[in-house]
Amino acid sequence: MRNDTPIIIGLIAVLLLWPLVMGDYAVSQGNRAMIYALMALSFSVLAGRLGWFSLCQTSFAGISGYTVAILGVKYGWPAGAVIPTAILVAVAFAVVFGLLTVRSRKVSFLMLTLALGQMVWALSFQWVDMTGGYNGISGIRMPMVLGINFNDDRIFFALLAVVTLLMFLGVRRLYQSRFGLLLLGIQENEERMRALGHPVYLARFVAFVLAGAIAAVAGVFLVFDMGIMSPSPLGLDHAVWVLTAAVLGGYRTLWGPALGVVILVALEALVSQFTDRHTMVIGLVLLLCILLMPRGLAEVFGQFRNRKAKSATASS
Amino acid sequence: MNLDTFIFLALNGLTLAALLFIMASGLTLAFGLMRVVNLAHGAFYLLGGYIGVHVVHATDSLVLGVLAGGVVAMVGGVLMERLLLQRVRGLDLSEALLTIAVGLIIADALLVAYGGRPISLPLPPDLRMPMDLGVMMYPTFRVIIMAVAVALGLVLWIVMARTRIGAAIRAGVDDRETAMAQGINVPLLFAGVFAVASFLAGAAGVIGTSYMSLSQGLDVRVLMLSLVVIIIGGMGSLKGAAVGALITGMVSSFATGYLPQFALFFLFLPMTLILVFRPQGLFGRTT
Repeated sequence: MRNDTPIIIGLIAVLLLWPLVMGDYAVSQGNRAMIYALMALSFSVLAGRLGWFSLCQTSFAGISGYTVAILGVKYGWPAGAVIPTAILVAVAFAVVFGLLTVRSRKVSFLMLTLALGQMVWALSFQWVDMTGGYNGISGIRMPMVLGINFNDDRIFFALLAVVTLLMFLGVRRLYQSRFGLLLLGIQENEERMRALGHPVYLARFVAFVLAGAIAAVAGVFLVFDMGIMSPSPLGLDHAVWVLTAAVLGGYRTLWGPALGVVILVALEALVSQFTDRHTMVIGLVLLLCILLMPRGLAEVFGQFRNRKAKSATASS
Repeated sequence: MNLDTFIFLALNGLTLAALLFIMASGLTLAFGLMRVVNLAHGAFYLLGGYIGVHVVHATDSLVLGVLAGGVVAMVGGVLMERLLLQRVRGLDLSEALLTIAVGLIIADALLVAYGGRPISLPLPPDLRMPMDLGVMMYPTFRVIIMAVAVALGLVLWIVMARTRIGAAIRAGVDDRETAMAQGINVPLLFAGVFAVASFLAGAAGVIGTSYMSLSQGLDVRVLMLSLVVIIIGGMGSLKGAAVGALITGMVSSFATGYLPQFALFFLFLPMTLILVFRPQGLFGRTT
């Protein structure tokens, strides 16, 4: 992995300055971007390391979001109990889905996760007693802790920024670890890894559950950010949104998915002045990405940097 | 639980199974031949449905409506295959992602054109009349859906198993290079199968409109159901699509009748069992 310390320092600087300098709208967009960056990270762990394109990562976020809403609002559990339970419930779903998908390859994995994710979506619709159906559950508020009001957008931003950064750095560790290398090896040549005595299915299963846990954390922030939980974040268009962000930014790199999310959020803010056909815009972006640069912007930049470094050493 | 309800639910299950088979047969055929999962399938279904309803309104002819819906979806499918999928041929994941993008764009365009309100098919009066099946009265049109599905299954089976074209398709599936060396024009064959598959999606959209009305989000529901059917049956297998449709239709109908809250869970159950015990599907081949 290339030395990315400048990226990390720059990112910390931006995250520190953003809530101080920018207006309310930009701060709330920043919150949204970080939540979706976590989902894109969850997607990219599977896509970049295993070649598994998942369309159910947003479902895990939705499951933890619904758990927060149902336990918190309907049953009045305290937030300290709700949040860990929500993450556990989503991880439990990830365990089940992981067991069902662990043997599948590329395209069948895509189809399976699409079908599984859309079942969760349909369940959120049909199970009206529990989920409130199409209207969803509203009135979800962050708790006051030690007199700090986390419902304030800027304080929420600070908390979310810390968690997001820690998650990315955790995944960075994962990518550098032996386990991360094993995942890459499995993507490259599954049979070879198996012949070397590595537990291929177990490794893939663990990666799937880990990615599910990342999405589950994103879901907790998502539901507190929106204040309402409805079926729409579980829809296929949201899953494709996350996929598009990761493909656009470069799902094989660590920071690519975050870059893609930032670009898409900015693009949507720009486009919304002319049209509200966001889904169509996302579809077009995905189409162009696949046709023109299937590996994403981060790798285009990376190649550019390598070439510059090479020509610099050649000329000196 | 009485016998009449039971028979009624069984007939509903058969109708749904027939519809699912018409939806899924195109998807599974295209997959079997080209290893392309057309995830725009649901969007083509919706496109065919809307166009078909227009034509039925304009001409009062159901047959024309079904044909029009099918042809429009077929044109869409062929354009997608020629203009987009050709560019990434062989990269099966890229192909699938392209079809997702196309599906999103089509569905969103349809939402702009028709708005979110549900539209259903204006059936001619003689088709709306119930028909005496011996055990009970049942809407004529649903009986026709079942007949169409059976006829379609027979035609596809005969073409695949008994004709030169079918033999060429099977050869193309088994070993593409050798088939091409034997003088079979595999790319043309692929385009043809893709056209037929898209036609079936569009035609299913018109036929299905009498059973579930066209609305926003239906494209994704249709796609999900079709995927469930071919995951159960085995991707690429026509027989599998038929059996998968039957299982899914029946389970869905009885679950909706007796335990509506858990209808989805029961829809999900056969697929889960299949994935655990036979990941390649009932009639799928391991590759």
